[in-house]
Amino acid sequence: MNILKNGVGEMRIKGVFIKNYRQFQNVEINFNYSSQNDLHIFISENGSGKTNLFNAINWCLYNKEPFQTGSRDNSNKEEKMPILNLKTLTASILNYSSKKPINTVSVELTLELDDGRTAYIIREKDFLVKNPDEVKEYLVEITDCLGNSVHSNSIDKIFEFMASEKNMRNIDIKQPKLEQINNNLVVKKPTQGNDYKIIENDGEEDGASNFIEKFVPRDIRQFFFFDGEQLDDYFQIETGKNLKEAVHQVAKIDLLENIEYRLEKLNKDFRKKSRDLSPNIEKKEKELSKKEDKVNNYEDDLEDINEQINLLENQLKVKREELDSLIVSEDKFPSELKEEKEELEKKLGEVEENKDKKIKQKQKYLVRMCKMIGAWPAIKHTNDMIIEKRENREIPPAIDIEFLEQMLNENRCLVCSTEIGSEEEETKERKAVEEIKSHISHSQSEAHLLTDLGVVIRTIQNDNLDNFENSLIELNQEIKGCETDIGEIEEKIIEIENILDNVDVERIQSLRREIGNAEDARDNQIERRGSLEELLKNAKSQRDEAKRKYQKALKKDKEAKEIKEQMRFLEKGMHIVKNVMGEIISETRENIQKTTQEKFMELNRKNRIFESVEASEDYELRVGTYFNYGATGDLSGAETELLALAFILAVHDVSGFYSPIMIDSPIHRVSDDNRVNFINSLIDISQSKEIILTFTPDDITPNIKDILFEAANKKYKFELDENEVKAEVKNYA
Amino acid sequence: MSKSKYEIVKSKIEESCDDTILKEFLIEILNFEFEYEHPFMYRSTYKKFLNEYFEKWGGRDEN
Repeated sequence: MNILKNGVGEMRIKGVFIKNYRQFQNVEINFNYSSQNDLHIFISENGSGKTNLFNAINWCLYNKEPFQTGSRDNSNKEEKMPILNLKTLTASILNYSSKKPINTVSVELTLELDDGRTAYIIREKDFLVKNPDEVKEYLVEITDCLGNSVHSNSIDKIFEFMASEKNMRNIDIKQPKLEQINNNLVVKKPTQGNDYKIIENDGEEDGASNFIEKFVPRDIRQFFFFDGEQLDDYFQIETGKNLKEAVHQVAKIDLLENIEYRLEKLNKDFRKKSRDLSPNIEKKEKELSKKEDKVNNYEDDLEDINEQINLLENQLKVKREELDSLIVSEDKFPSELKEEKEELEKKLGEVEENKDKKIKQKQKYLVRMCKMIGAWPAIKHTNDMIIEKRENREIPPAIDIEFLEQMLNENRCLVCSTEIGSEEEETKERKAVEEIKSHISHSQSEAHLLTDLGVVIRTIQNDNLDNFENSLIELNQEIKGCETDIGEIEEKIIEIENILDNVDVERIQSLRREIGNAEDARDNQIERRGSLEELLKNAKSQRDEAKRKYQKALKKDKEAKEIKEQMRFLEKGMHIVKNVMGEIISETRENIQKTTQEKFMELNRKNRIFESVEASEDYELRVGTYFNYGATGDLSGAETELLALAFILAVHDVSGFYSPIMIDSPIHRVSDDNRVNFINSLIDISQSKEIILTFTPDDITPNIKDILFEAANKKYKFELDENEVKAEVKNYA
Repeated sequence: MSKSKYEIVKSKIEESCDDTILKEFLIEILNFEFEYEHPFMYRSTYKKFLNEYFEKWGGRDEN
């Protein structure tokens, strides 16, 4: 399939209207044509506006000014100049009163489309003057110097004044500061009938820009607008660069490039995800294995410890059984029995001592009571006699003489308080008391004696004689009790002695030691088991965590494998896209080569030495003669320019964009001998394509003048005013 | 891109790709790119196509 003839867009420029763009304050240029050549030429001195015409068209279409302006020497000066026409700018500042001035720069292209209808492309930019006050002050200062009133008519004089370096020495130059506040691209696109659709946008991507892309795509605009002075260098620097750029841009593989770019992006996303998912299974597996080994080791150790503990328990059981068989009493051991025996012997001594004490006490009692019993009949008789006398009232009453004496002293009865009279009165009652006192004073001592004796006898009887038997029985019982205790203690001592005589004390002690050691060993092992159980618990927890991570990694691995498969699918897709792009580029290159050769042969028809043009795989453009292939550097200036022109026409042809060619100074570097051939070639091209060319008057040598002027449909010239700030377009006479 | 250029690219892909599913996937993407010159959030659309065709593809390799 032929990919070259796309039949995209064909157009020609019918006219251009430039307002306030650099030196063009208000310029309209018409490119209508009636002759067979669609050729339009501008002949002017350098710096008059030729290059800025091409810049204005580029600026309108792409918002770019690609060409160097003016002579090569003053390019820096030009670059500093504002895009806004200086006269318009100055006038707006001079007329400024309160509102900051805004000036509009615009370029409008009128296009004739392939169906004959007209379309318009308009770019407008608005600029705000940010410092009108200070600039105006400066301008007024100049006008004062000039002695004129401030109005627009004085602008030319102002520029004249400013142009004089002498005048400017004493003035502090204030540059106007401009701020772009608007940038509009508007396309008026023809629809049905005489209607137009207005497409507007500020951006570069869609809308109005897309309309332009259909005629002269931004990427290949350098093949439509170019500086003729650079034509002979076209293949000298980086020979393959232009060809490669052209092939890639003309091939229009941008769609495939987008697809490749996006597939690659997607693939990168997957690669990153795949890296993130990269689970490092082996590492996780090793970690799990390590953790499992640790758990197993702990479990083995624990098993060993449990075995040890069981062994020790069994040993303890055996030893305890043996010990139990040796132990005679339930809970006593020989040493304890010995201690018990010693206690018993001590107690036995105490009981025997107590028994002896009781026996002596009994003997003493019996001795004492023997005397008492011997004297008892006489005592009893005396007592009976006292009792008898008391009963017979032979014993005077126990009247207290002191009591009676007190009554006599107080002169009253101490019993009934009756007055008994004083000693002097000698009353009857007093005498009775004194008589009683006298009467009893003799018998009182005997009576007391008998009474006391009676008490003693009764006490002896009560305390001794009446309790003699009981006391004796009690003493005997106490002695007997002691004897019983002695017997029991002795019996126990004998029993213990018998036991101790039959016990292997050393074995028991040895067993006790062995059991103690075994218990210590067992307790140590139990303690160790506790620590191990804790370690095992932690190790199990770590193993479970490692297992979880491993399982997660396995899951991720599965995902990663899936992603890798998707990447493989994408990579295969990208491979196909790359192949298709390569194929298209290769075909494009071959077609550009073929067409360049055709065009070159056609343009260079008078020079039959050249046979072919070859574009190599590495984009080297070589021209073949009948003898061999030579590099483009071997060609003359005109031949190189013709080859470049052929190449550009081939790009037009192959790309399918049949738009105008604009060349600034096309023959500037072509020697006189070759100029005719070159101009003739351009004239030939202008029969099928609009060509706009610019020349300096010096370029128009006599040998081409007639040919060129005859073929050119329009001949214009730019005329600059005296201050070189305003250009006008006029017919070239 | 012009319709004719699209047809050329499509035809080239069809000629270059023996894998039916992969071919369908690329043409789906080509159609998407052709329809939307500057697709917004293309990733989700590409992923959607990828999931759809990759599932059909199933990791097999027709070659």
